[in-house]
Parts: sequence; structure tokens; C-alpha cells
Amino acid sequence: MSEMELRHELKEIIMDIVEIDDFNDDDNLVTQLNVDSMLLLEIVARIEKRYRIRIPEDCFPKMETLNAVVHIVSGILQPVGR
Amino acid sequence: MAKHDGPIVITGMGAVSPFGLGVEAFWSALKQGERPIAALEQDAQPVPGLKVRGWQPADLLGKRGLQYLHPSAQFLLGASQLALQQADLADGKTNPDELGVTIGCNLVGLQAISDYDYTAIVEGPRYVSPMEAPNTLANAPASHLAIRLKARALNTTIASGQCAGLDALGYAAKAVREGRARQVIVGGVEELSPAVLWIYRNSKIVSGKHMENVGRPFDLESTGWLPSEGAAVAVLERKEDTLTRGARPLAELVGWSSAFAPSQTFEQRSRVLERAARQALDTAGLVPEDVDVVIAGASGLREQDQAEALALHNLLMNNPRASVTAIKGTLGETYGASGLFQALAAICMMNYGIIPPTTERKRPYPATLFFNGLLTEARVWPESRHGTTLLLTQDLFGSTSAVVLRGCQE
Amino acid sequence: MTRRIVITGLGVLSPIGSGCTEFWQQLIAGTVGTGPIQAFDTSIFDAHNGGEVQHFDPAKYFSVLDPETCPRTTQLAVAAARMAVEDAEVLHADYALERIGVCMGTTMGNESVVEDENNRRIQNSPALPETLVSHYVQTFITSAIAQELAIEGPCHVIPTACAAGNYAIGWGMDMIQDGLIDVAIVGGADAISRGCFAVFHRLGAIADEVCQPFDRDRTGMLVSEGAGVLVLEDYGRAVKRGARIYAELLGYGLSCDAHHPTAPHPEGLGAQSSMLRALRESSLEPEAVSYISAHGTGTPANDASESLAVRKVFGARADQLPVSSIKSMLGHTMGAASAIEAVACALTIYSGTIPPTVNYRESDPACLQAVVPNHALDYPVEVAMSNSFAFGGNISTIVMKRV
Repeated sequence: MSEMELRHELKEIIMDIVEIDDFNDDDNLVTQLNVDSMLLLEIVARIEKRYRIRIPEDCFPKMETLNAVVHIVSGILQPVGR
Repeated sequence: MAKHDGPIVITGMGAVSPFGLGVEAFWSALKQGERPIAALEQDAQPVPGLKVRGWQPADLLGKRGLQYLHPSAQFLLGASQLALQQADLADGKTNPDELGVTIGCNLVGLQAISDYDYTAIVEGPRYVSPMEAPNTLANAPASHLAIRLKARALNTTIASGQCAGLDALGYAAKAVREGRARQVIVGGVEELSPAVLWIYRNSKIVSGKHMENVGRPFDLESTGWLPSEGAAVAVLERKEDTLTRGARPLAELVGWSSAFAPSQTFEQRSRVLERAARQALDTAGLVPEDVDVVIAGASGLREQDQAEALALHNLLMNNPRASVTAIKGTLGETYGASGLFQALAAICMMNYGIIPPTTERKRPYPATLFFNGLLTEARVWPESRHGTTLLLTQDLFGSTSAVVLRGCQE
Repeated sequence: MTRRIVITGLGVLSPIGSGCTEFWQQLIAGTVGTGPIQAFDTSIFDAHNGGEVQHFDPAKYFSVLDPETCPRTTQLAVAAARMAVEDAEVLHADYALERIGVCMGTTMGNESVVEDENNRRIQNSPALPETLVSHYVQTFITSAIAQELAIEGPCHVIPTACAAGNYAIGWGMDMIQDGLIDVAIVGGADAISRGCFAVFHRLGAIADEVCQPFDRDRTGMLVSEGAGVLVLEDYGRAVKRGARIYAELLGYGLSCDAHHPTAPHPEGLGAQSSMLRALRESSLEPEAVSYISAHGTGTPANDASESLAVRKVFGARADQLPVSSIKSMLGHTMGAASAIEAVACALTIYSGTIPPTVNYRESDPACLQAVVPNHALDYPVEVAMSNSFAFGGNISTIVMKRV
């Protein structure tokens, strides 16, 4: 899947959970979109379920914007070889 | 808040039922006596039931947050909104530290926890939803309601089976008397999920055969409960506050009591139900002869109905003018919500001056075991606004409860 | 006329021991009863520890119903209730059975039936016995107690999650005050639940190893099970019949955060209200309280907001006033928790010893300091307060005192 497709899907997931029609890719989820810890957990859970991946707990605080979420998820889906 | 020893009244009513949105839809259905029975499926077997239809939750509640609420929470929020509107307490007219919530319900979390556990072990623990977690508990509807209304005085859920609704009324009245809340949203709610139908099937209280014979109160042909769902809500508050803000009290809550029958014989059950009724009347300074109308809890389950019939036979022996009506022939058995639906029915009767009839019985009980006064046709009640109604209910496992409501004469 | 209400009987089943004597001995010894869960397979989860009641033989406590038809939560409830009424010797006293009522709190209720059914579906085994399934409903918990003890007063179940025990105790006080009953058998019960474990696991709330309330490095709570029951009666009649009186119940407070379905209010507003209301109903000022039994689950959120709330109510005293959490030893017994904590408070007052908060290594400046760390404290407790905070914002506080 291309990064554009992934970005689109992840944005859909977030919009569905937060119940908004649109937002900017660099909007802060917590301070601008009112995502509390439980909603963030819901976003994580839905992403994990959709892609059958596991997002480590120490990534949660870094998931501040859609850009960050795309970066973290694509990193897990296609880890860069060492 | 200081304690309160004055009258406690109901000022608002709301309902979401198989007849649609609002108390009017429920009241119309009671008068007409039609029950839109659906053949529901549980494990590929048919079970009769009445499902909520005729409302769009988003229209009343807005779309936001609805996806995280189970039907039971949606029913309760809808019914509560209507009740508060009627009481003229909606749109922030209440003080959060004075507004309480008391809800009777039993099985609202069952489908949620069943699915949660199943998904965790079949798909994996990471594949259950965090937002769904609180919905697995019986206190979920009450909790969602409190958040929406900002109700911080108290929040109690009562799960005493079929008695839960009447017991919620008793608990809420106590809260107002003790000054723990100035207003209490008292509700009852239940949802008919597949898991709930599984419980009812195994409890041998519903039958898939002879669907037209289900849920017929006081009828020897009745084959058990007619499972139903919905929410019924009343706003309870101090009468003196209604005078201050010009709201209209609809009824006064004057008595509640409850008792338990350890034995399963219907004679023992009837004695305990009679005792609960007398105690409830006594707390209001009344006796059975003061009762104008009884709203029976009869559900069409013969063991329960027999016990109630005998109790009423004894209670009404010296009260030939009392009328009895059983609403579950139309409403079905809404379990935790039933007591509140009984209360709404009683309040409608007292305010509109009509007593709806009980569903026609195919095979009535022999007269010797029965009581006088069961209405088979609607009756006009001219003095209803001064009237006294007695609400009775029993639970499958032995609890019995009673509530007394009086009209608020203008 | 306000009746004085006293505690005359106690019953308890817990991961550290069952029956008052064993429970209390282990509690003040600081015994940790949590460890790897045996009741269900935890290999699919990232956490594995919890608390379980050991050596429980339900048949010992049943003479009317068949215990095999009763789910485990009901079995624990009946056992604790029987222990409590025998401790109080109250059924041989002169009380009419219709003047005795029962109320139990619970979180998950008879959830084991659901899990048995899920297991059955997966394994494609025969249907569960109908009677067992019909006993799923929560009202059966108190109905079973009432049937076993032949009680005829009011019987309720209050499923207000992790605060439920305190609600049941408050109900009992109200019923006696209103003159409907003379004796209340009240408490809470919950069997260990895989579904419950899945809930807390998904919320990231479960501790890595042990429960460490108020500790700077605390990692969460531990799912557990148990039952606690208290017998309440009128003081005058208890004295007259020569009953042993553990403590007097002065009052209770209720509130609701109405903030969030699972998280506590960050400033503990609901907790503050509940404590203040309980004190007001007890006609006491905060200065009168000698000990607080904390809700203290060991989660970062709860212990911080609870500490803030206690500091707001008790001011400068908050960090000298002994506050301990027995969840450090028992784990979180859900609907039984505040009932078992009430049992512990009654024994604390009666014996003059405060149970410790164990597993405590590092203090957290954001949390209360006087947590009675690791070792019980001999200390005459005049007035004890016990707090409980639950999912759904259900909050309740009880206050009891030495007689």
C-alpha cells in the first residue's frame, strides 16, 4: 500500500473515532482535536486491529499529529532494514 | 442541602418504547391494546419480542458520541431528555451538585461483556475497543446520562430484577428526603439483545410456540413473558420547588416498600406481595381501602400472576370499587424498566382520567382464586386527580415491591 | 428519631485468607495475596497477575440451593453472608425474618456464566445447564443469600462497579433508619473475571508485577476477587442482646464525577464532595478523622487524583493522617473491594491496628505521604473513613467510629 493510501485510511479512522469531518495533517490531536487518553487508545486499538500490528506504548505520546501517526505506523508496517 | 420532609412529586415524564418516542405513543398504545409482536431470532430459534422502533436517536440526542452508546444508553438518554423538557429543567436549568440519577436495569451490559470476552480470546486482547469497556457494566446507562446532564449529586444503579424500577423510585425519594439531591432523574431501562434473549430462554420464561398467547396477564393460556425493551423516566423533586418555579406536579410519590419471599410456593409469594403493598400504603398513612386503581405487575407468567391474583384477592376484599389493570399485556415485560413504565401509566391515568383495560384473556382464572375489578374495557375515572394508585411487582427470584402514587389535584 | 447503627458481624473471603481471623492476621502481617492467575489462561495477555480466593469450598455454606447451579460470585456472596450472620449470632436473636434485609454490590455480577458460554461455543461442547444460565441475573446474588438464610425483608443489588460495597452499606443504614428493617446484611462480591481482566488490560491499567498504591513507580492495578459482608443493626438492640460491636456507622456520602466513563476527575472533585458529604451526614469535621482506608488501586491516575482530593479536604493534615490501601495486598476485588475495606476498617477500629500499604518503596510527592508503608501500625483509631471510586464516576464514602 502506498503512503498516500495509508495516510488516507489513517485519517478516516481518526475522523470516525473523533467524529469530525476533516482536519489538517499537522493539527495537534490532543490540544486542537480534543483527543483524550481514552480516545487515543481507541485510535491505537483500531489501527492495531486494522493492520494486525502492535504499537508500543512508548509511541503513544509521540502520536501528536496525523503526520506523526503515519510515520509511526508505516515504520511498523515496513521496518527499515538495518 | 437540608433534609426535606414535605411532599415529593413527579414533574416530567419521558419514554422510548416499542410504540415510539414519547409518553404519548406509549399511552396511546395502552389505550388501544395493540402489541406489535416481532419474531426475534435467538440461536436460530424464534422468540417473540417487542423491539423499540419509530425513533431516530440522532434527531433527539445529536450524532456526537452515539456510536459509543449501546441501545440501552440511547433509550435512557432520549427518555431523560423528554422528561427534563416536560419538567422545564432542560438546557442547564439544573445545578449539577443538586441533580441526581437513579436507574433500574439488569441486563444492559450483557451483550457488551459477552462480545468483549469472546473477541479477546478468539481474536486477541488487543482487538477489543477501549471506548466499549465501560459499556460492559450495568451502571453504563446511568453513567452516560450523568455525563450528558452533568449530574453530580448521586448516581445509583439498582438491579433487583423486575423490581428494579419501583425500587429506583423508592431510592430516589429517600435521596430527596435526605437532601442528597434536589431533583432526581429516575429511570428504568432494558435492551433486548441476543444475549438477553438467551438468558430469558434458559430461564424458561419465554416460549417460541403459540406466539399469540405470550404475555397475557392473568390468563391461564398465557405461555410466559412477552420480552420487551425501552426506557421510562420520571423527574422527581420537592413539591415546594415546583411552586417556586411554576412547574406543574403530575403526581405525588407517597409510599414505597419491598420484601422477599424465600419459598417458591405462590401462596407464600402472595403473602409477601400483600405485605409489601400494605407496608407501602402504611408509609403513606393509607390502607388498601384507599386504593382507587392497581397497576398490576402481571406479566403472563402463570406462577407470578397466580401469586399476584391471590394477593389482590386479599388486599381488595374490602374495596369493591377499586379497579385493576395490567399493562404488560400491551407493553410486554421490560424487566428493569417495567416499574417506571407502570409509574408513567399511573400518572397518565390520573391526569387524563382514563383507565386502560387489560389484554383480553382467553381463559380467565376461576373466580374463587381471583379478585374483583380487573378491567376488560377502558373506564373513565372522573376523580382521577385526587386518586390513589398502587403499583405492584414481583421478581422471578422472590423480591416483591410496591409503590403508591397520588394525583396532584389542581 | 435517628437510630444509631452498629456493625455486629463480619464475613470475608479474599486472596489473603477467608474468615475474619485469618483475614485479619494476614492483613496486618502485610501478606501479599496476588500472583499468577490460575482461573483462566493469561498467556494471550501481556499481564498475568491477579488475586484469587484459595481453598474455597462452596458446599460448606449452602443448605438450600445446589451450589453447582450458582455462579462463583453468588457462591462467594452466600459464603460471606453466612460467615457474617454466624459471627453476629443475629439469626438466633429475636428479630423477625421480615425485618432483616440484604443488599450486595457487584461490578461484574455472575460473569462466569458468560465466560463458560463463550468457552462452550469455541469448543462446541454441549449447552450449559439451564438453571445455571438462569442464575446469571444479578438479583440472584442477594436472592440466593435470602433463600439460604430464609430472610424476608427487602433484597437489593446495587451494581455500581468498584464503589458498590459502600453503596450497599449506605442502603442498609437507610433501611434501618427508615424503620423498614432492624438488621441489614450488606456488602459486595465479585469472582475473578476474564472479561474484566480484558477490560483493564485494554485500558493499559494492569500492573506489571504487584500493586503499589501511592508509590512513585506504581504501574497499575491487579484484577482480583472476593466477598465482604457486614451485619448492621440498631445500637440499643445490639447492646441489649449482648452482641459484640465492632464499630458504629455514622454516615455515608455519595457523588458522581459526571466527567468521563472511566477516568476520575483530575482534581478529584467528586471524591472531595463524597468525603465532605459523608462527614456532614456524620456531623463531623475533617479534624475528627483518625484514619482513611483509601481506594488506592495503584494506577497513576487514581492515586494522584485521590491524593489531591484528600489534600483539599484535610488540608495540612493530609500528609500526617494515616492512609493505607489494602489493595496492595488483595489486588482490586471489584464490587467486593469497598465491602472488604469496610470489614478491615471495622477490625482496625476494634483492634487498634492499622493495616499497611505494602510494596511501597519510593514516595511520590504528588501522592499522600503517610501511607503506613509496609508494616502495620499500632494506633488507636477513633474515626475511620473509607473511600471508593468507580468507573462511571460512581463515588461513595463511609465513616465509622469506635464505640
